[in-house]
Amino acid sequence: MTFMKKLYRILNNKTIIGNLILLGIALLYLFQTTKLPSVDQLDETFFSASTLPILLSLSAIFFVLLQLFLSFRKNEDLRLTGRELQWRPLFFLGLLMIGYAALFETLGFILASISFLFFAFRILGGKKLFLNFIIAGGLVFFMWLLLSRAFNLHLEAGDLYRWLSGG
Amino acid sequence: MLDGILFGLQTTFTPINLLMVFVGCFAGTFIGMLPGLGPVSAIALMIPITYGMAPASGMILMAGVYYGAVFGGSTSAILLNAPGVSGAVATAFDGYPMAQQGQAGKALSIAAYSSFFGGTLGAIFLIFLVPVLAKLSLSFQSSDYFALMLFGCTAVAAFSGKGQILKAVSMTFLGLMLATVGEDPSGVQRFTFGISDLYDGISFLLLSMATFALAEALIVAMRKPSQQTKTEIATLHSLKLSRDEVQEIAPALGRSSLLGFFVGILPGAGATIASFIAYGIERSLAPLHLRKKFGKGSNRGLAAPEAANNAASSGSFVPLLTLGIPGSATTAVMLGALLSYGVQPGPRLYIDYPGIFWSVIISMYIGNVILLLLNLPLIPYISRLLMIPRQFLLPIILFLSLMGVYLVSFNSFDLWLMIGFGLAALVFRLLDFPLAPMLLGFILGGMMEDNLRRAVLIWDDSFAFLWQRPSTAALVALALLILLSPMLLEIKSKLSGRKRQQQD
Repeated sequence: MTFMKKLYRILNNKTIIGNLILLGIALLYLFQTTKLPSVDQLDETFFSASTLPILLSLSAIFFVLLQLFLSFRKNEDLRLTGRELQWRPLFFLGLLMIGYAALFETLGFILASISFLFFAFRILGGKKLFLNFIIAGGLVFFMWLLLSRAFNLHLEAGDLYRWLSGG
Repeated sequence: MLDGILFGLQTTFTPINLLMVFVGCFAGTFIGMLPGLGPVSAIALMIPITYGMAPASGMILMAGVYYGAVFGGSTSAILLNAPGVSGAVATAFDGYPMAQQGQAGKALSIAAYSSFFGGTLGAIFLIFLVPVLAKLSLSFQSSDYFALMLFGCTAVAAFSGKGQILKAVSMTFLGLMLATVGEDPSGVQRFTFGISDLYDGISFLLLSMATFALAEALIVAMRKPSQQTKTEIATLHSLKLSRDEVQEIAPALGRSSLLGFFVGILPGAGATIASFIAYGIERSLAPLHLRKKFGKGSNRGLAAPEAANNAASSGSFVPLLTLGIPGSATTAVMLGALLSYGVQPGPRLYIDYPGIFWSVIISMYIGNVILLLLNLPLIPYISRLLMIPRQFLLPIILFLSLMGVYLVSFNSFDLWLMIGFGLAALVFRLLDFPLAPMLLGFILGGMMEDNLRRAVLIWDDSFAFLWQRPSTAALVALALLILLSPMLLEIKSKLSGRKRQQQD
């Protein structure tokens, strides 16, 4: 089998890719474990802050390598079957969630949440913009009433509101 | 025990706690029907709401949500062939064909009665078994706890699907590693990368919501609309069962409830496995003329998994209430909720917090009654909620998930963390890596380290307790046996599969 074919098989194998990700995480974890600060008194203690992390990382690396070994040995056809999935909604929803987290403190709970829901409805195919707005606004208002009035929870008002109100 | 039952009745039969049972069952049924949410997500969504309540009330609410969600998942399995919870997958095998044959009403009735029977029997078993197990568990030391948690982690991995054991073990380790983030008992900051928001570690609510609610909703959003199973909710017809039908399903109900309860006791087994085992057993035991109907609308094929998954839900509380070990992902979240109330689960829960202990058990029985009385008349109306278009449903789920996490700490950093974990969970889901073992490893990780640390100290900086203390050694051996047997079989089959390919 040519190198390119082998590489293609690897990149299309869910098990291999997943295990490579886990291997990366385990190696990073082990690396960070070696950098754990030592406390003087802990030098006299058998069980320190790094004892369990070392055990976990080495065990995780062992199991992941075992799986990789078995996956490379067996010619499993576990292709990444992404064709039946739509990646566009995920991309835009992901961006929307990032935007929501980034602007939450600026816009405040109400404005950020209404915007999030409105655009999310649109991304998933809600074409009636007015309906989207009414549903988003109604739900957020209901949540605001429930959380801030009924449960007495403080919800972020937002820098924008504070700026506009001169606070 | 009688005192305990009376105490539980006294605690549960207060207006607020009865309201919690009612609200929990109702909310759980609705949430369980929604694609993308299950009992874990439903309970995780409830936890922020319960912060202002008494622990007993909060736990009663969550127990009600658990049962409600298990039943709600069955409704969408029957009507849409889209199980709302993994324990309802087996329900769809015969429930959906029945609905397609114009017998949706009967199917929903069988599911409701079977759930009631299984859940009630499970609650009765729980009342009698829990005190026995609680007394036994008082003799446990830190080393035994560590071994028990190790058993819990390995059992989750061992009961995962065929060919998934090694993946489940790896994901369990991932969860254990995530549990070490934050300050350790000796005051050392671990894996925080200098971010002060991580000094207290990662919130279990954040991880469970990201893993189960957020990731699931994103996956559903990625599916093409043509793949969404649309259904007209045709007339539901009668909800009543004939005498013959009752006689047909009665033996299956008894067997499946028993099986489900004892499978549910095993940490890591849970409702999903119980429902599949029950379905398989009933199909094997059924007379030929009934066996042919399995998969095509069999009454027994529907009744068995429904009774089993509800009985297993009760059974999964046994390790949680007696030993502080979650028996499933759902009870793992409830364990986290108990910890957040400042209640230390374990054998002393029975002694130190009898109100919580007994009221949860009693509320299970009441919850089953309420579910039956509530859901039978409401089934036609509740099921219409499933017709909410996905362009509205999914964003609402995403929004509620993000809000739920924010309400815990009121820190927008958690939103970032949630999004990061949610996307990572999505990646693992798409790569067919199970996430429940990761969550369980995360929940158990902190307690495992504490108990391991104490055990090492008690045994003079030695790990000899693993083989010298009989109870610990027995649990460790059991854990290794449960894990290694299927693992070695899986490795052997993978290696022999390659050999066969080479020979071909």
